[in-house]
Amino acid sequence: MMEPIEIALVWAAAILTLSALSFLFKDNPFFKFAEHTAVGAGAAHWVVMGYGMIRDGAVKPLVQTGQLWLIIPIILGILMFGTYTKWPWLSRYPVAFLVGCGLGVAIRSAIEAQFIGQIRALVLPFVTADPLKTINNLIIVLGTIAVISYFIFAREQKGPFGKVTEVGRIIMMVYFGGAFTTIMFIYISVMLERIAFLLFQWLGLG
Amino acid sequence: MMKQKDEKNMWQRLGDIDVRIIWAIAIVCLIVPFLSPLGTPVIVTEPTKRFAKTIEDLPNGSVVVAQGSVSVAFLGEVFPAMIDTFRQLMSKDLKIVIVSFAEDGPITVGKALDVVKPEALGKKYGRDWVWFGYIAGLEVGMASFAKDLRMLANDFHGTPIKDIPLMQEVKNYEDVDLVIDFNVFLDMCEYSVRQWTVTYKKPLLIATMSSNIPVVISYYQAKQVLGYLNGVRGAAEYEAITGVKGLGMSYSDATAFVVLATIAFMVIGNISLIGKSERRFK
Amino acid sequence: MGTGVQVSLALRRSFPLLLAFLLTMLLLIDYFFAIPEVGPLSKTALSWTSIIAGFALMLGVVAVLTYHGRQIQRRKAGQRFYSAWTIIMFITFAAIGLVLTPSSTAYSLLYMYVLGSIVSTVNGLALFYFISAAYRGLRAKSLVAIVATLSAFFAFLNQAPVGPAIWPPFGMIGTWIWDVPALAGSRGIVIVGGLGLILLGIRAIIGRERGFLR
Repeated sequence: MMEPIEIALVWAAAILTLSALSFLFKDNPFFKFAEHTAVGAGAAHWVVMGYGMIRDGAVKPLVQTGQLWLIIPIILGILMFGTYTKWPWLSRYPVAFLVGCGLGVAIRSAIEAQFIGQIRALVLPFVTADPLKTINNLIIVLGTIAVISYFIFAREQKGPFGKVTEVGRIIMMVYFGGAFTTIMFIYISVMLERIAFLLFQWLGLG
Repeated sequence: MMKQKDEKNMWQRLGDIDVRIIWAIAIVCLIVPFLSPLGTPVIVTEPTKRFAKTIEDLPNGSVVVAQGSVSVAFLGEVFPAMIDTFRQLMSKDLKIVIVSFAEDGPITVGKALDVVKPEALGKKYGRDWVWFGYIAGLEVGMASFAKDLRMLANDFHGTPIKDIPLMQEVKNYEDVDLVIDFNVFLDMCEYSVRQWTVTYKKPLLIATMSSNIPVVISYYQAKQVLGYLNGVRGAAEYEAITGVKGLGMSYSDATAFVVLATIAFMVIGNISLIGKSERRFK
Repeated sequence: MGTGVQVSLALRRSFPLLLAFLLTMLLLIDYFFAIPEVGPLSKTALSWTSIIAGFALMLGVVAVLTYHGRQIQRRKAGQRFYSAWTIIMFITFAAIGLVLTPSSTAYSLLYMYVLGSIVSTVNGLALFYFISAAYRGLRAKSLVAIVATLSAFFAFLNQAPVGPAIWPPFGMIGTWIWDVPALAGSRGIVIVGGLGLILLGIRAIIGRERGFLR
């Protein structure tokens, strides 16, 4: 048996879901109402989560354990709002912090993760007992090289090099064709979850 | 002359169906499977088997970091997998640290925990599992957390770290035995590979949206990801392995109708194209 | 006067660039050289970045509220009511979240049922456009279109369990497409993406990447 507040929330959710779905017909006041509800609620959530991070990451350790140097990131964070003042260049310092650390953590392991590790995985035997495996390995290695060639823009893509890049383009089309379906599956699942909510939780069928 | 005009109209009509008809058929295909399930068999793939086996083979007392970064915007896609995995984790003698690197991750994690009910599975909060909520900074947040699991002053409920028994044993990446990443964005998969697998050589499992799998496959083939769950289908396969029927199987079954309708429209569109091409040559 | 301009330029451009460079180098040195003194410094830098990111979350909110505040001030017909509603929702959610905390049942229920319903439905709308796109776009008009269409066809049947159930070879073909040619495509793209990231890092280290200064 659902609590009255939960029944009210289910009805609110159903109305908002149907309002959002109404966009299929055309943009209308119900959809706009739902859209602006989402914008306001989403913005509030960012504030709530940001506040939680600052409180638990900086303010509490500063106050409870006396880690005075935590004043520095708090000041840097406040400087972010300098973009709305007469001195917008102040916000460059916290942004530099974010960019510097972000790049540092990304590139130090990208070399192994997205470059060396991937190339190591390309080292596949071209001669195996299974002819199908041999063909597959050839397609993987040569196909990957062809795709990488496609992105070499320093050289004009014509002649034999052009043919290689054309193969790379076709390989990428195989990938994109498959990727299209995988993206569609996401939206099928998302829509199914909503339909399941409307049918079972709201209308009480089944 | 009249017959040629009709045939031309038929091919054009086939290739120019009103989108509202297409959408109406799509809506029917979304509703029907819930009222009359097809019961399509689930074929379990190798990555899902490895996902389940990696968790199953964990020794008692192992520490698992579960990164729940599933956005509510894509709830239907990865949420079933998160529920199923949490259920398996909480059913074993493991220590679990739950954290989110997406802003609404804690909300979906909370909903999954409401479904799984760890206390009913004999798990005690603070001793067997802890929940840290959201850490800002995306990849930097992940890197910071991996380096120091006690970077926050308290857990998601506000309990100070010093009062949580589990966090007296678990300090940083050295104490972690497995990382499982539930996410919806491809970037998150890459952050986990870079920050856990490559930097600290920690085993990694991923449960993510179908659209990210084409890239995750290349990490899986390179043995940087030990196993993965492919969206709703992955959840259905996982349920087939664990024997616990859940949302994965019902959603996966329901996708059949929409897929068949989409393929039918693709075929109709191409028949129309072929028909028009033949008309040109006659 | 000249010195003042130089100091001003240094404060506005050079120092932020230097800060980004030093932080990037700190993390690279920590990773590649494992110097004991550097470890705690990089740990501190990373945790500080998360704290600054918490402030960054709020930055976008200021822009949203400013925009809607202006709409209300301008009394733009129709829009001001929506903008007023946006701000009411913001205040309601923020009050509940900050007072009761986001771990409370009230906040998480409100979030799931209100915001969750809207954003997941709006996302799900894309399904209908995808189906129309599959119908209109996936047509065999050229070699690349044929390749993409066939790949989509087999991927559809492989991804949904109905494919192998109708005819088992659908599953085998679909699996082969994913494990061989599509893998080649995705690996190539991952490698090129990784190269791009490394080059971006090098540009940042040598000070050529100044986009963040704007």
